[in-house]
Amino acid sequence: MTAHAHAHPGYRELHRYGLWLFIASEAFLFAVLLAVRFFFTGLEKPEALNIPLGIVLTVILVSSSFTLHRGEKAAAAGDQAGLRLGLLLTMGLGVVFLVIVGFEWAAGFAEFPASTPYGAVFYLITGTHALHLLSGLLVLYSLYLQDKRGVLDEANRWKLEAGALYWHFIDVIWLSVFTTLYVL
Amino acid sequence: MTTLTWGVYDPDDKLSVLERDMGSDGRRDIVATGVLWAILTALGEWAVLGTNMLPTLASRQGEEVDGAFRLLMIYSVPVMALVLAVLFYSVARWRVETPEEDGPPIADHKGFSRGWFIVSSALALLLFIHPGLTGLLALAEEAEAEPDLVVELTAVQWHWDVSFPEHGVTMENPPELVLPVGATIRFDLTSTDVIHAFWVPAFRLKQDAIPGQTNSVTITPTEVGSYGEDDAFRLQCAELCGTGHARMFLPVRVVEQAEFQQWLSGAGMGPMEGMEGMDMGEGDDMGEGGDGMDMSGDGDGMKMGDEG
Amino acid sequence: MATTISGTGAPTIGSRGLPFAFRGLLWGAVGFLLGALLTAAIRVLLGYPAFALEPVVVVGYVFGLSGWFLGVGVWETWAKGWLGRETAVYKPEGWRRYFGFNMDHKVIGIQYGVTFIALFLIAGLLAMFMRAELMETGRTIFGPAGYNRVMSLHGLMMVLVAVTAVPGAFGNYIMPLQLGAEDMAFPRLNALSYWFWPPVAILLLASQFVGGWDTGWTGYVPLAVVNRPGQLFYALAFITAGLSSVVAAVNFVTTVVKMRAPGMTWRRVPIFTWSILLTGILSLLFTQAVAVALTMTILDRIFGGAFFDPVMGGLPVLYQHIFWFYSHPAVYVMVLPSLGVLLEILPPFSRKPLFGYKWAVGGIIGISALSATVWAHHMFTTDIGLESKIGFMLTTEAISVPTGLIFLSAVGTIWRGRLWLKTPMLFALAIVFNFLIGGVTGVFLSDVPADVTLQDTFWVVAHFHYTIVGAGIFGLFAGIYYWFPKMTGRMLDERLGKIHFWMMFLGFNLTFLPMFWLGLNGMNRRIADYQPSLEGVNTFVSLAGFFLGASFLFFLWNAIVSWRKGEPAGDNPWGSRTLEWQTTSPPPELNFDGEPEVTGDPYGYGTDGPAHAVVHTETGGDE
Repeated sequence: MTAHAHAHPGYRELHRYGLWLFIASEAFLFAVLLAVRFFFTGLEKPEALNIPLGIVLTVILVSSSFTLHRGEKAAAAGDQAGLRLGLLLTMGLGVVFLVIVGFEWAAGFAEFPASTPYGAVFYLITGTHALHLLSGLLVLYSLYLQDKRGVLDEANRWKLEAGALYWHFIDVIWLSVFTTLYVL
Repeated sequence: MTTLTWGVYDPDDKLSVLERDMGSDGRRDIVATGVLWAILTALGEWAVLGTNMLPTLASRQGEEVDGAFRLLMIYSVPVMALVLAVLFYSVARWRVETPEEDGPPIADHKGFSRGWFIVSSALALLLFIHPGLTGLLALAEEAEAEPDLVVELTAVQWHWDVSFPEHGVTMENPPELVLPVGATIRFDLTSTDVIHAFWVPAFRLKQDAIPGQTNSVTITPTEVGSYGEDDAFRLQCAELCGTGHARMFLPVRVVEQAEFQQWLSGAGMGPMEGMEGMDMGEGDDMGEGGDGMDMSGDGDGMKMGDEG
Repeated sequence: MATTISGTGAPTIGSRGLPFAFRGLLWGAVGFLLGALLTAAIRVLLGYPAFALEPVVVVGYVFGLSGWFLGVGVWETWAKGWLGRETAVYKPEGWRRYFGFNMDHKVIGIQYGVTFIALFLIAGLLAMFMRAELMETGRTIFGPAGYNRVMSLHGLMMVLVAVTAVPGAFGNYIMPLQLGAEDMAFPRLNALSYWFWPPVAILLLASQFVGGWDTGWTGYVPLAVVNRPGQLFYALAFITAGLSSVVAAVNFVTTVVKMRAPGMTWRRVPIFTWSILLTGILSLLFTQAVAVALTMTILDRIFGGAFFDPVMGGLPVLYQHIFWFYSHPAVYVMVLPSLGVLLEILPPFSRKPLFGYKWAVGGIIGISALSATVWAHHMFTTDIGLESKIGFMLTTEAISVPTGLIFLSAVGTIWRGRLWLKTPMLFALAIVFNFLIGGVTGVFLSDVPADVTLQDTFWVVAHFHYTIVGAGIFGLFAGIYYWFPKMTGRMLDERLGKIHFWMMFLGFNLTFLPMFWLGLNGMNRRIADYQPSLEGVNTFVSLAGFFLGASFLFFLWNAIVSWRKGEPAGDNPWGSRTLEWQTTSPPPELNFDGEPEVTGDPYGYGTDGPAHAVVHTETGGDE
């Protein structure tokens, strides 16, 4: 098989392409969801929407992308401890994000319940995003475990790049969700 | 299985098994296919123009529909005939038991391909403009017409409630819908539960009855007729709405103006009492004990509001 | 890449004991119970009664699906790696290789093929019951409630078959061979996409124990919200199938773009592979929309209706927009691969190059691009405005142009060819005939004035069966007769094949042609009963339908017997030039006994130009 292995692109190039396709597909999912919001309620939004909290959430996620990026840099420099710290910080911020979303939902149910059009759209979109974030957390945790076991070596460095790319994507999606639900 | 090998196509090889279609460079085949196309087209058009596949037409708006349908049929015939002519001719002419050589390596023919593309684009554009756009605009204009009569139809699983708001008449699950011929009637459609659709085959137009909103459709009946004589006169639910969907239809009777007025003012109650309402049933399985288009059973009859 | 997974010294599993599929069922059941208990616990904590069917099913299903995957082999072959542990490869010999998380694209192609033929036959049997009910007016065998359930199940199953069978079986088996690749780009994702299907089948089966559902395959709201619990299973099954499509699409697109053998420029990519590429792109993007629509249905069912219930401010028509935004591209997902099969078969059986290759590719790309812009032509009778009607009528009629290019390529290829009327060729020619009728009758539906009477009648039923069966399913069988020798190493019996073909072709046309007349004359769709005046034609249609159904018995018999005892096929029984025929039947583990290099046109029949490809063996010589 080695004889014709050169016919195909490397592992990393192939996987990077596939991941971008998956991201395009996911972007379509969120595009449809965000379109639903405008189709449904136009530009109206409830008074009770906690915009400052939305800004806090945004700051947390942007910071998490930053810490993850620091982790990646550390890994590139061969600093495994720095990578693990970056992963832990990122996961921590992700968990804080989810907890705040949980509180926001609990408060929101009283003001704009899921049985109102805006409420339904709000929980559908933030819920879908939160599920993606949860899956991103699992990916980061998996990377953390692999790093601890010492298998996240140079050959497997792609996995880190993929996990980070996915996390940044979820972050970017949050920015569009925030713009759609809180700002517009 | 023996391995098959094919010789390369050689137009100069006079021993070629299919020599007969060379020399003429296929021109004879083109002419023959053209003749076949013409024959198929003529036969097709004869069939299309000579037969009426459509049910009774009894509305002015339906003329637009039938006109579009007939025109599309006329256009379709030569298009279909062309492909079929090539298909039939090729199979008859060039079928072989076992190919002993390859055919001529014609990978493309610029002129033909471009011509095909241009003609098919032009045809699509033509069809879009007429009967598509013209018909659509004509129907839209008809829909704007000032109605002589407004009928409110409320679809309910699985029957129709009818009301004539201008006359203060409301009927719950009536046994039939009586309409005056020649009047422009606007039907205001809504639903109390799921999506249903208004369709009287003799009137052609179809419009969904959607809960939470009112959609309108304007019809001008042009012929008298009734369900008893012709089942194209029925208000059929045309959007799947659950168990009773198949039988969710209301017989329609188009009558002269005077007869309609008489019916509406209550004098028309006579014949209606004789014809009892349909049993649309309330059970989950409409089929239990039911037997076909059973018109007997207890109807809800009709309620008349203020008269006058 | 294939070599990094199957080629290394990873331990192999699955060669002893019960096949992994059984363990998957067990772990899936355990997962379901865990999910159900979790739901009950949360409900009690929130102060609700512990048990409510639909929330329990939804959460249970998510856990059950995870358990199923781990059990069927994801645990050893994949998930252990996520924990930083060593993974294994599922690689048993013989029949066992089909019953676990096998990553070989040839195994997966056969898994898909057999599974979807089985689903096709079951859904076809349901159609026989439907025609039995419609044989006469009134109640014939099960009445309206039963009919609507059977019709809905038939519809969804056949849609899933039509979307998946050709890309699943031949996209997986043949496409990498045509590219000269040794496997798909992502063998694990490939296996994953297949193993989504048994849960779909289980959901469809389970739905029938809670009353089924009766909205047809489209699941329009509000009916789908107020309906019985079977509707929930419908939504979950559909979403699961969609996940499989997305996963498969990532794989197909990456494989075509990145795994082509040296020399395989875009101008040399076989037309079937082109069709799979565009199908993949459509699935990749639009499947997400149907997931959104069905998720909204599920949420309305569980949390009480703000999306679609107008009383709560919901918009029923919104569902149709989202649903058809996916489902119209999806009908091209059903047809494009079969049109690819058609154009793949015509050249070798006409002994001529594919006529107008670049027009055909342009046609496939054009259909795909336009397919995203036509969804509301399913909604001409809803409340969409005049401008929308004009726009969607224009885009819909425009689709006839790229579709016409497929016909251009087909008739140009057979013209002056040496038509070798073996069974695959008969099916291919039948596609031209059927799809012509299906396409032309579609123009009537795109035309708003004609559509307002034809919409939701048997005209539509006849039209989409002419496209999706007449092209899609005929394409499936064309592909089976063409590639069966490659996949099994044995020929299908030609005599039985011809009997199957003529019965299917005649039965199909006799069944569906009269339906156009029925639709025109007042027979609306999805009805268990009809007006007495339509009885004669309906009886005829039913009898023709039974004849059509019987044709598949000949196929089944042929396939089973030929797989075991058919005449050996040799490498290239049809004298085809594409790469899948330049290796043994069936191909070796890594597909070619050497390195394929593409040197010419895939359809250079009749020329003495270079071969499409040569396979360089290890010793350096050419085969």
